[in-house]
Amino acid sequence: MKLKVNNVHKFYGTNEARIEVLKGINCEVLDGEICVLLGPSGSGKSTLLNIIGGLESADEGCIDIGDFCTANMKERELSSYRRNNLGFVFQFYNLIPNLTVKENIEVCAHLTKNPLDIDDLLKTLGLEEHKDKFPNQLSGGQQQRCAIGRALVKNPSLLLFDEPTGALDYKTSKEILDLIEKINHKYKNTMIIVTHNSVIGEMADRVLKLHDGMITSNKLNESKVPAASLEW
Amino acid sequence: MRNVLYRRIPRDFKKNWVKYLGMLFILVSTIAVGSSYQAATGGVTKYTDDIVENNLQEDGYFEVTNKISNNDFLHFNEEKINVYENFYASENTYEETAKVLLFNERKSIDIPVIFEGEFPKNHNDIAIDHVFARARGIKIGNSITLVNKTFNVVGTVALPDYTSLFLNNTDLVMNTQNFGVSLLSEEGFNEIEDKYITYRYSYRYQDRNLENKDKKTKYEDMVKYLYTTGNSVNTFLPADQNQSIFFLPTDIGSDAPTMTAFVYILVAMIAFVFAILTNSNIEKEAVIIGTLRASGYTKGEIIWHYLQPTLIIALLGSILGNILGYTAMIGVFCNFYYKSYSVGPIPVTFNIPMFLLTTILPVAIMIGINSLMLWRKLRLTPLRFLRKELKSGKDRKARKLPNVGFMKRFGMRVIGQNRGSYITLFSGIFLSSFLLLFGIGIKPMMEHYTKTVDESLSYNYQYVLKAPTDVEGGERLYVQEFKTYFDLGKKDIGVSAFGIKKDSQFFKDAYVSNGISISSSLSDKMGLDVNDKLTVKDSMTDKEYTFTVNKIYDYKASMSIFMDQETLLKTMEKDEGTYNCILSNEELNIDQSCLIRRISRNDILGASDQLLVSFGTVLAVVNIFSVIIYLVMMYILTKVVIDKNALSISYMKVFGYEPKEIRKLFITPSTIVAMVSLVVCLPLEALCFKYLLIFLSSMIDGYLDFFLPAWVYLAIVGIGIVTYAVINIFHLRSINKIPMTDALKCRE
Repeated sequence: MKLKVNNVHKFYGTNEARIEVLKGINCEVLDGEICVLLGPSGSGKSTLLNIIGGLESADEGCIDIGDFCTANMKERELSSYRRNNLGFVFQFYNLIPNLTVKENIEVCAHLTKNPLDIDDLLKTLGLEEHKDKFPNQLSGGQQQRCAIGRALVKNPSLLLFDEPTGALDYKTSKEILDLIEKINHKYKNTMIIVTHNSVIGEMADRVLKLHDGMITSNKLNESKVPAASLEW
Repeated sequence: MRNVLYRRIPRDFKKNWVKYLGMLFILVSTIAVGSSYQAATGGVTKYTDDIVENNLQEDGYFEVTNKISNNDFLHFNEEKINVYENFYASENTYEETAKVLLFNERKSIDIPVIFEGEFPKNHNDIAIDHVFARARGIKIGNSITLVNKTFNVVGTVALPDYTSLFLNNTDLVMNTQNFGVSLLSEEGFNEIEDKYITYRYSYRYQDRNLENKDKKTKYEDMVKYLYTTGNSVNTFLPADQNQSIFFLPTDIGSDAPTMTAFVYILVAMIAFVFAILTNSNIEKEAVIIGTLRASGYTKGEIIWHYLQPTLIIALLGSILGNILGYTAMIGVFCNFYYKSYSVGPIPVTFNIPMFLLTTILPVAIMIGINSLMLWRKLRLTPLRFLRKELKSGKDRKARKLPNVGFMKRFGMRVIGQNRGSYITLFSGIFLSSFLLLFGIGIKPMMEHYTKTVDESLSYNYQYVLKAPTDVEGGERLYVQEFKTYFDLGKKDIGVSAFGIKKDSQFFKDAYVSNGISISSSLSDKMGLDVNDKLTVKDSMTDKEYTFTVNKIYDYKASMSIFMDQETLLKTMEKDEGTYNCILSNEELNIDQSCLIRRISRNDILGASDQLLVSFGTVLAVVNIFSVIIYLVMMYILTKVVIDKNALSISYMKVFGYEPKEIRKLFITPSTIVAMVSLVVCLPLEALCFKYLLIFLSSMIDGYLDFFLPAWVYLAIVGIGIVTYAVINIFHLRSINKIPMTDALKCRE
C-alpha cells in the first residue's frame, strides 16, 4: 500500500516556547518498500513515525495510506486505522510479561479476521521452540522477534519500526534486520524503520534523511546490501 | 479469534493472590453481613405478617373473674367477633423468681409454632417458650415443676400472642429471664387446680379488613357490653395496645437503613481500593497499554480488560457473600432475634429486591467507580502511555521541598508520589477505626447513660392510670402522650407532656407559667432551644398543638415537655383537677387493672442493659470485622507503595543502602501516614459517632449523651498500631525479596 506524507507540520509548546519540529514534510513510500528514516536525535524522525502511525496528529498536512487520510480523524477512526493497517515494533519490545510468546502474538491476531498462521509465523521468526516461554525467559533478540511477530500477525500493509535494534548487541541486531528483510520478501509489507544507525540505510529501498524537522535527502537505494552483510 | 488477554487474569490472580484474597474476603464478609441481616429481618417480618392469618393471631383479649355465658358468645358472634377460650394457669414463683403462664392446648386462635421437639400430647407434657427456656437453661427432656405439678419438657414453642415477653403490658422492657409462657395438652391442663386458672378470652374480628377506627368502636362496644352484662372484667387488651404482640413488628427493621448504608459505604471503600490497585497496575503497564493501543486496541477494549478482575471479584464476592449470608451467617442474626424475641423458626425466603440490593448494587458500585477511574485514565493518548507520561499537566515540575536531610526529602517524595493510595488508606483507617470505636465505645456510653439517667431521675415509680385511684401517696399529675416529627430520623417520636404544679416535688425546676419547658434530652435530640416552637400531635385525635419553649430543664430520663397542669388540662379539654399519673419514691399498691403503664427506676435503667444483651453478638461481629478491614486495607494500600517502588528499592540495594536505610526510605512514609491517620481520624470519628447517636437514641427512651472515656481512644490507636506492626513484618519480608538484578535489567 502506498504511503504519502503531505506537507506535514508539527509544533510543540505554546507562545514563545513554541517549536516547529516538522517543517512541511512531503514524501512517498511505495507499496512493499523498506524505507529507512535516518537522522540525529531531535531531528523529528520519531515524531514523523508517530504521525504516520496515528499516535500523534499533524498540526498541518496529512498522511494518505490507501483509502485513508489521517487529517481530522477522530480517536475512534485513528484506532480503526491502526487496527486495520499498521503494525508497530518498539525499541524495548513492550511484551506482556504474563503471556507466553505465542499468546503475545495472539494478542494482535485477535484484532483481524484473517491473521497469519501463527505456527508458520513462529517458524519464520525462529521462535517455535520458545512459543510457550514467558518474555522474561527469553533473550533480548528473541523478545524483539516476538514483538515483530506480534506486529506482523495482522498482516498489516504498513509495519513501523522505532529503533528496533537500539537495545540489542551487534550480532543480534544483524539477526533482527535479517529477519525484517526476510519478512518483507515473504509478506510484502511496506516497512518504515526509524534509526540513527546510517548503516541500516544500506538494506533499504529508500532512505529518508531528516535534519531539524526537514527532509534533507530522499533517495532510492540502487545498491541494496543484504542485511546479513551489513557491518558497522 | 478469541482475545488471549483474558489469560492474563488468572495469572494475575495467582501472582497477587494475597491482595485479591484480602479484597474478596472483605467483600464476601460485607455482603454476607448485609444479606444475612436483610434475610433474617425479612424472615422475621414475614413471620410476624404470616402468623396474623396462618396462626390466627388474636385481635385482642379480655380476662374475667368468671367464665362468660353462651349468650355472651352468641352476642359477640352476632357482632361478627369470634371469641375463644384461651385459659391459662399462673405459676408466680418458678425457681422463686419467675412467672410462667401455662396455656391450654390451642386449636382455634393463637395457634402455637413448634420451635424444637414436639407439642405436648400426654397429661404431664409441657412445651416451653424457647426464649424463656434458653434464658433459664431449660432443655427438652428436663422435668419442671409448675403449679404443683411435675411436667416433662417435650418441646419449645413460640406463641403468636407472645412474640415479645413483657411480664406486664405496662413494662418498659422485655423480661426474658423472669417471665415465660408455655403450653400444655388439654388433658394436662384439665388436671390443674382451679385456683391457678385465669379465664382469658381471645377474639378475632370476622371482617379482616376493618379500619382502625372501626376496630376501636367494636372494642369499645365489647367493653361496654361486658360491663353492662355483669361480667367482672379484669383486663381488656386489644392487640394494637398489647406490647407482647405489637412490639416486635414495630421494632423489626428499624435499623435497616443504617445497616444498608454501612454495607454500601464498605462496598464503595472496597471499590476505591480496587481503583487504586488498578491505577497502580495501569501505571506499571503503561507501555503495554500504549503498545496495545498503538496496535489498534480500542479504549473500550482496554477498559474492559482492566475491569475484568474487579468484575470477577465483585461478582464472586456477591455470590459467595449471598451464599454465606443465606447459609452460615444468617444464623448469627437469627440467633440475635431468637435470643430476644419469641418467634418460631425464621422462614428464609429468597426475596428478589433484597437479592438485588446485595448483589447487583454492590457489583454496580464496584464497576461504576472503577470504570470511571479507567475511563479517566485512558483518555490519555497511546503515545503518552508509551512514554509513561500518565500525570496530567504537560510541564510538571518537581515540587520544591524544605531544606531538610536527604532521607526526609526522599520520604516526602514517596508520600507525594503515592498520595492517592494514602488518601484511600486514610479513608480505610477512618472507616475501620469508626467501626471499632462504635464496637468498643457503645458499652461505656450506655453505662454513662444509665448513670446520668439514674442521677437525673427524681422518682422511683411512675404509674400511668386508666382512671383516678384512691390509693394514697405520691404526686398526682396529668400526662399526655404526644408524637412529634423527628426530622433527622425522618420519623415520629414519642414525647410525654407532664402537667405539673408550681410546687412539684419531683420536677422542682421544670415549672413555667407560660409555654413549656423541655427536658434537656429532648432539647439535645431535636436541637431545640429557648424560644423555639415545638409542634406535637395527639395520635388518637390527630390534633396538632404548637408550644413555645421557655426553658430547658436538666432532665435526661425521657423525652418530656413540662407545662402548667391546668394549662395542659385546658389544652386537652379535660376537667380541672383531672390526673392520670402518680409519681412516687415508694412502690404504691395500685391494682393492675387501673394501670396503663408502670415504670420503675429499674425499668428505665434496665433498657440499656437489654439493648446491650440484644446487640452483644452484633457488636462482637463489628469488632472482629473492623480489625480485619484494618489488616486488609493497611496491607494492600501500603503494599502498593512498595510495589510501585520495587525498581527504586532494587537501585538502592545496588547503591549499597543498608536494609535499615531502605526501610526508612520506603516504609517510614507509610508508617507516618498510617499513624497520623489513626490520630487525626479520632476526632472525626467521634464527631460522626455523635451524629450516629442521634439516630441510635431513637431506639431507646431517651437521648444518649455522647461520652467516650479516654481509654477507648487509646484502645483504638493501640489496636491500629499493633495491626500495622503485624503488616510491617510482611512488608519487610517483601522488601528483602526484591532482587538487585531488577536494577541491572535492560529498561527504557
